[in-house]
Amino acid sequence: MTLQELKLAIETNNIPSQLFIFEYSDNNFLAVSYMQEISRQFNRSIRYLESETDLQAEIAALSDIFHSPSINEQLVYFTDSFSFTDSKLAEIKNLIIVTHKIDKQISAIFPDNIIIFPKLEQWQITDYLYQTLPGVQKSKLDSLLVTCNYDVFRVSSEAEKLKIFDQIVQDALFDLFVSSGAFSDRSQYDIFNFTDALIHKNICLLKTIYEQKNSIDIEAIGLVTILYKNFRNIINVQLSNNPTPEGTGLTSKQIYAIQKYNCGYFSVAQLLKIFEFLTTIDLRIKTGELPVDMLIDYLIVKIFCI
Amino acid sequence: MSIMIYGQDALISQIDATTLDTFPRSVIFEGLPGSGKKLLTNYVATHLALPVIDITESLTQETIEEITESVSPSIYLIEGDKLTIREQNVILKFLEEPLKNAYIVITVTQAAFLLPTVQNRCQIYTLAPYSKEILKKFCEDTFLIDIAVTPGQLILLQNEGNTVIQDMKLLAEKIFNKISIASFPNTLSIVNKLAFKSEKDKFNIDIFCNILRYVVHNLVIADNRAFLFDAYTLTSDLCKHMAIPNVNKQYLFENFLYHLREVMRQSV
Repeated sequence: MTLQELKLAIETNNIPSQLFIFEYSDNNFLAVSYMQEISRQFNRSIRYLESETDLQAEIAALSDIFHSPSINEQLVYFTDSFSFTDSKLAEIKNLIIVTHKIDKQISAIFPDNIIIFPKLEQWQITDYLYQTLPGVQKSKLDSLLVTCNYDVFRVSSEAEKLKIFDQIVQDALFDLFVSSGAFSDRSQYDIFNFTDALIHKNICLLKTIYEQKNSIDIEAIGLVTILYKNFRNIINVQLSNNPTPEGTGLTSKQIYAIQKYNCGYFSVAQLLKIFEFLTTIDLRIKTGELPVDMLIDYLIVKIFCI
Repeated sequence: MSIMIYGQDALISQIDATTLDTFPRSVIFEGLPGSGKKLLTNYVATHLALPVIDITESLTQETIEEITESVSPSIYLIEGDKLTIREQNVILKFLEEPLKNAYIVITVTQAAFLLPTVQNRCQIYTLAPYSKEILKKFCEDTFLIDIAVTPGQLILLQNEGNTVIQDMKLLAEKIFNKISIASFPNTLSIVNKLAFKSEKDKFNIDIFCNILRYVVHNLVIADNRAFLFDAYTLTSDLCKHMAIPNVNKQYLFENFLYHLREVMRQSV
């Protein structure tokens, strides 16, 4: 069966009751959508199987005279690589396998059960969003697609927030969502941009990132860990006459990159003081002296004042 | 089978005077690592003829419900140094309302590191420090007795082996003698020899800190210049802070190296 044939069967409410083996390429979004629609049309509740042992158990149950196969359940098995070769699996009509890779021999054993899902192209994701939110101007949806980096899972997640509303109000609500930050992570920056700005004493960039910090996943203790590692590496390279991989624990490429991009922004005395400061933070948090909610602001002020 | 506990006579007398009805339902045993907190718990269990069940790794509402419904009395042991704030809050109600068949024993290095609400609901028993005479009952090696402060630490040192202990002593002496002239990257490389978690083929950090304290103590006795007193204070604080639950020991040690280097450079 091809994907087009299955799509037609779904659209005409004429899905055959059979084993399906869905093979996806880059992500399983489409395969999962089809699986959910098939379950819905058969009015089955989804039960996930954990391993091939469960598949064997289901096959064994077929010949168990006391076992009544549950026609109200949609059995689903997710696996990276599918190599189960028992042909009796095809007798389980309410089973869907979702896999990234199918062993060569599987195609011969289950010739009519395999559906191949191609890679989703950007225009398909765009079409999907346009159809899901028909009430929103396409130019606005295009900006959302860029923000989500055409990640179909993120696009779907953001679209879920609006699609429950009537088409008439979707456009106005989209603007409201944007202004109130409801579309998650609309920032182009991440925690590493933040630490780079600190290490390079780039106050302008730091100010820009700081203003967006609520949209960026910056966890205070994680920030301390990254800064500690960065400054420790800078100390090992900048303060050594001849830094080597054996002496620093870094690769030659890392040493070169640190020398080129990270050294020279702080003096020796400043580096040591910053290192001393960073290595006290954990103790001060664990003893209750330093509240975590003020940590990010405290780090910025302290490092720039040293 | 009776359990022998040395050096805790006052505490043992208090326990011996209790019965099933008079022993507190919620108790904290406070003492340094290796001081015998678990042994004391077993002593209480033998005295009261009760089993000990360690519930440290399974502190959930379901476990508490099982304990509430238990028909026979038991002692439930919790290693307090491993508790998160959330887990301490889970056991609060459990501590507050005495259960018919449960005696809760929490073992900690320092009761002060538990939430005040947990401390307030428990009877706190502090294990007494061990004198050298008591430690001699466990081991006759005077060098090890000078380093260890508890019987458990003595046993750990014995298990490390004499060669490893001597290597640690040499490294500790080298640190105090050379740190003032070493570059900071060179100083930081010391941590590569130490096991901060459970790394094999490296020196146990807790034992090493005790050896550092032993070495600097001898330096102060031999030469009472002010900077050596400062070094001793730094080392004592390091040993004390290492006992704080969930603290990052590598950060602590590197911070210690930074300050030790500054202090020892006063001698140059």
